[in-house]
Amino acid sequence: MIGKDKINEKLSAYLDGELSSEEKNNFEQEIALSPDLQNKLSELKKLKQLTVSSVKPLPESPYFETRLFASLKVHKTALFTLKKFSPVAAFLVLTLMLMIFLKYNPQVIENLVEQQKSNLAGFYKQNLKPLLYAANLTNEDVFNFAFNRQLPLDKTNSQYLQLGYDTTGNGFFEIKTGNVASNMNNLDRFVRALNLNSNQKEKVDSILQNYAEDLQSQVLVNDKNTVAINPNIWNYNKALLADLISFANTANQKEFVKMVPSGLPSYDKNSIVRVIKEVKDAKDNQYIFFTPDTIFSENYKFDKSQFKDAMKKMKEGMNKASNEWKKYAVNLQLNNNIIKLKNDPSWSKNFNVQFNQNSCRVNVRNVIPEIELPDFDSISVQIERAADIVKQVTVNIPQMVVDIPQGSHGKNVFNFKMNLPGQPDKVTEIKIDLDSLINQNMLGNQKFFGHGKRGQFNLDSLMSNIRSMIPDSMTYFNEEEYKSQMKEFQKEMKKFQLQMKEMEKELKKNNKDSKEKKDPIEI
Amino acid sequence: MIFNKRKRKKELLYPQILQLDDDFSLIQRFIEGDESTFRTLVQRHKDKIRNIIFLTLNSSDFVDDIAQDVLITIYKNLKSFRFESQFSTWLYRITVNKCKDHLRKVKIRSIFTPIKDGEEGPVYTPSMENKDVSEIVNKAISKLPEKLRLPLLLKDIEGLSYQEIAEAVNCEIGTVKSRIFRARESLRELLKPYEQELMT
Repeated sequence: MIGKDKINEKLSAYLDGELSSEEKNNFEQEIALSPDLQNKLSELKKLKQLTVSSVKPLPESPYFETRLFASLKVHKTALFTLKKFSPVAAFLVLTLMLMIFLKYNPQVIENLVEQQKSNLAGFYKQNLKPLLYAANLTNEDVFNFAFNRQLPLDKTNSQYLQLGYDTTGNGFFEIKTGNVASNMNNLDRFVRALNLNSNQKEKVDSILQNYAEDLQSQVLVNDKNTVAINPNIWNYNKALLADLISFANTANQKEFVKMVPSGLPSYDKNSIVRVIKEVKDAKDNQYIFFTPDTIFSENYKFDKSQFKDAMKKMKEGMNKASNEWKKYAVNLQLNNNIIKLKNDPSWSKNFNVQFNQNSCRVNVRNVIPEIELPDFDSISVQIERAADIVKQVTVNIPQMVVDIPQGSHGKNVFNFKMNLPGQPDKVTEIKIDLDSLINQNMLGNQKFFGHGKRGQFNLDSLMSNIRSMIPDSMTYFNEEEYKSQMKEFQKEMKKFQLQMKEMEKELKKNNKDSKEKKDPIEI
Repeated sequence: MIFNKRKRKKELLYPQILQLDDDFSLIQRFIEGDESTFRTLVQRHKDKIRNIIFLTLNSSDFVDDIAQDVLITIYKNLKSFRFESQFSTWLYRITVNKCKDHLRKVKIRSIFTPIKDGEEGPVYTPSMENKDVSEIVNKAISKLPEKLRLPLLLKDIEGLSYQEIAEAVNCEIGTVKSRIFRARESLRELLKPYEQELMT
């Protein structure tokens, strides 16, 4: 059966002319000898003819080419458009894919941001050194930190750190260009005002020295213009102030009461000690990093014990390595680079940055550690009030010139002209009679503050024009009151002038009468 | 120097015996940027393409659409033609593949389209009388399975060689030979009831 099929298959191929010439010749001989094969071949031939004749020809399509080339034209345009916009399309597809991917994997972008943040934080955390590297803190600096909340960042370039509190009670720090009040011997004034003996002075020094060491670790700097501020520094400031005021009160109460007549009414020494202890023991691993590029709050472990050991070595080689330390000096370009911080929303939650010509102020929220002592706020208010008064007798006051024209004396008219310097930062040292001020204060504030007797020369009336520069309660006056005082004084003077004229007239009359009478002089 | 090298390579690819308007020359000119040669290729091969589609589908309904699709595919891919086989062979393969794609789509569509009563198509019955011979044969051919029918028609109608058919339907020459034989045997069996009509 298989053999028969093979022969018939060969016959079919023979009919189609698909056998090689040799095969064809051999097969033709085979066909000639077999009537069966001949019949089969004729049958196949007939079938093939039927097939060919049965299939109808396909009708012509006259517009086939026209349609084809029209389609090709459209296709070419589409292809060109596709090629033209393929980069855009690819970009869109990629963007879409990225968006879908990020929608379902939001942690990727968060991780990326965190990674970048930690990279940036890592960069700025490198090589952080205590403030000593930028500016060696003296006792004078620490004293000024207590009363003025200023710390020098770099003595050569005169940039300093100013701490403070805004009206809402939130802390802020400023990096300012300018001189720190450290060269004004405020500490010396404080010592002299309290009339401290050498032992007490040593004690003040030891308090300041003790805080200086702690302060070194509260402000860190590095060679990348980074200033890392520990938020606990605000509390250190309070503690130091409390410590100094407390010491002043105990060291020489007599002098202290002269300065601060109201004293510390509800002064609780134990509370202050507790506050100081609490501040020193507070966990202060969190630092605010202020850099030329950004501002952020991060954990940073500062090894105090290791630092103290290093301090000793540094002090020994301080002079030798002074050039090496210069690179740690903070020199922030306050106007150009840092300005971009304003538009960065990443840190705006805790920090609010404001720029001025010579300073950059950062308002800090939710970062300063709270000292959990219920009575601390009331104590701190009293301490700050006392500190303000102490500050006024120890810090310098801008120069005030009282100019009294000589020519006016002849007419008995007194015009007081006060020439205040145009530049408030130009200050020269003048002495204030501390005892007289305090004695005046003791007489009664109301009387002293502008309700004195008519014609009385009131020293403090002269100081009303400088009250904007010195926030001193003792120098507070109302300008209107001053004016009315002066008017009254002028009226009194006019009356006095008239009286004097009348007296002159009377004298002249008396003289004439005496000449006329020529009374003998009784001896 | 580089120009000479290119010229020599071209000479090797296209021997002088080839005429300027043979398929390879036209394709080469198309590759070099003369897209007008494509029109000549279309004019030369369009009828063959349309006929193959007609024979494969056994219908003239979609012939022009599929032929256009084939020629657009050729146009798009002509620049990557490698001159390793006859252009016509490549053309036939693409045509057959497009027809197969079409039939596959029709088959899938028919699965989801409910068959209405009386639309199952004419049923071939041997008792049909007064029929034209060509119609009878045509009906019988249409009853052949596609894999037998296509080689038979490509051979008997289009006159393609076994080799060309093998390349177009992507199988061996022996298979083509066997399929054509089996197609003829099946056709003979299908036409047996009409032997008398066919003889007259």
